[in-house]
Amino acid sequence: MFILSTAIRFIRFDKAKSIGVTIGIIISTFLIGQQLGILNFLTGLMVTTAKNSNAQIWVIDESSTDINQLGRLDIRKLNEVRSIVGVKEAHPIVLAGGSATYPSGSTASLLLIGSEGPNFPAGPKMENIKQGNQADLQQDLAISSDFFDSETLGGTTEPGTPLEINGKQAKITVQTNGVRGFGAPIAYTTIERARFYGNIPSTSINGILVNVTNDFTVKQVVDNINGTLSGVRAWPVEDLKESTISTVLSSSGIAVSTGSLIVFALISGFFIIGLTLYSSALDRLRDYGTLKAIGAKNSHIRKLILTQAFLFAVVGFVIAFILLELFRKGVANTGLIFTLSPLTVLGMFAVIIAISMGSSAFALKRIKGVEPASVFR
Amino acid sequence: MTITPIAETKNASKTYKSGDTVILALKTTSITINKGELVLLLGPSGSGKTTLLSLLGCVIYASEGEVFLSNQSINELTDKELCDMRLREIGFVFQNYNLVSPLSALENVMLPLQLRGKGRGESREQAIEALTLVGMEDRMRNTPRKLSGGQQQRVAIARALVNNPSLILCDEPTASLDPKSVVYIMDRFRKLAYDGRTIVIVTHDMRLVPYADRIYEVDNGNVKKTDKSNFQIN
Ligand SMILES: Nc1ncnc2c1ncn2[C@@H]1O[C@H](COP(=O)(O)OP(=O)(O)OP(=O)(O)O)[C@@H](O)[C@H]1O
Ligand SMILES: [Mg+2]
Repeated sequence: MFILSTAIRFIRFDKAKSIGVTIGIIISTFLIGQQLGILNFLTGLMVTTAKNSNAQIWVIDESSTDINQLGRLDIRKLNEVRSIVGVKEAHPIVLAGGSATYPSGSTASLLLIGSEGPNFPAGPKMENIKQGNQADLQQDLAISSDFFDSETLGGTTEPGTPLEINGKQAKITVQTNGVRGFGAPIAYTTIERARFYGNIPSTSINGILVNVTNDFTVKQVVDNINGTLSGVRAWPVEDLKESTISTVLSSSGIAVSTGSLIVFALISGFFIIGLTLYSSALDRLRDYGTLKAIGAKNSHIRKLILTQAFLFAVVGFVIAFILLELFRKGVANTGLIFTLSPLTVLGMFAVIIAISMGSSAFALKRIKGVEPASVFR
Repeated sequence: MTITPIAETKNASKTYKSGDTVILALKTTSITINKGELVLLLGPSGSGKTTLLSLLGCVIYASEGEVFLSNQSINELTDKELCDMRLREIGFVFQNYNLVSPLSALENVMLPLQLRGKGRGESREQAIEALTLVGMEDRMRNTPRKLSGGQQQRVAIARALVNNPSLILCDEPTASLDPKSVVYIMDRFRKLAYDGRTIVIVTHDMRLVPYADRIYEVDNGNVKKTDKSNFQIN
């Protein structure tokens, strides 16, 4: 206990350096949190399609591992899947790329996601709709667009906005709220219209969305499909999300750039914190020598230093966390929506504690070398 | 009154090696410090006074010979045991006071007790008692920065005696003090010795001579006992 109160005294005594250490911790924590947040946002975008569908199982072309890049299936597979034991319902989904032109003259790419009304199993879900409703997607020329994509998509995604997709007339009738694609903005529509705008033959689909009956588990039905049908692969939706994320991460520079920024934040944090702790220990060398001379053991000194490092880490982390929360709220208004799971936050806390206490090794080593006899000189 | 030896050196000497040069800081020395004595170690600069004090204080090991504290040879002790010895048996007073700067006067005096694992309440009580003994109880919340040299030294003395050590070792405790503080502090030491504390003071300040029970002169590493009457006091 007295180590704790002594540590607090030491911290408060050297205000300038204590602020320095804390800022070092805040900066590294913030950078790490920010990177993880952006990574969370990006991986979220990668699996938007899966998240917004109502399916427990996706049946797709057997060579695809990325939900954003699905090969074509023959429409006959749909009935084959429907005949599998345990399948309650199976719905086709068609994905099509389109080039959109807006009244303002600007252009943008779109990912059209078509599924059957009135329920639109591929999405949008009711809770993700800002203006309009699912039935509005059944109108002539109807597609959806996202509120946060207005900038990219000709300036507005208000319902009623006309546009052309691949040279054919279309109209926004539904505005979604935060349903954003990874490569291109997402536009939901009916299956026929996705084919129409994307020039996809009526014999082709890109996937089959499956829900299972109550007496079968998802795994059983997945096994049934994969054991019975050839040329397709059934995925539990969570597995397909994981596969998508790892496929995209390994084929893009995202993992490397996020990873290297995090490593950079860790290393620079380690040295900023370590050297500031070291320099403040140098200032207090005489005090540590006195403590030793009057009988403090090295273990006391170690506890005193580590307690200071721990306190710095806790305070720095809490401040950084508040800043991250503000950052999260701030960017959420622009559609950059991310969450840091409690586990991620806990992990970050552990890492910050570790680098802060680990980097106090410089200071510890220096103080360990102080001879108690030195105080007589 | 029975004579109880508290600290002894038996043929102890100390050499320092720095690079190629070997410095014989303290030649073979055998002295005994008894309980209740106020002992002065007098001598010019560089004569080996601090070296002798450090030996008695378990801060350094003797190069040759032995040092005993409360009949325990410290040669055989590990670094850790030496720490414990310093904590339990010895109180230190330094020329530059050496209070721990971030801590208040009270916290400084509580330190030796808390390092020994005593609780906050008990330590506080005893520390206030020690501070009262040196007349510093009304400044106990102040950090060293806010205290004068004499006041800091009084706090340092409180810290040195709060643990009830067998031996209080002081290195030039009056060197940075004004005459009035010197008198105050020496009166305290004198009284502590009468109360049975054992005090060794390193100094070259002749004003301290009248307070001493016994005086050793240190010169060029030689230690010899001197009679008080050898010094002319005016
Ligand atoms: N750690 C050390 N390494 C090398 N030489 C030392 C060391 N400590 C002391 N000495 C040398 O030993 C001799 C005695 O030093 P000591 O500090 O005991 O003298 P002192 O009598 O206390 O002097 P002062 O009155 O100036 O404090 C000196 O020559 C000094 O230079
Ligand atoms: Mg000296």
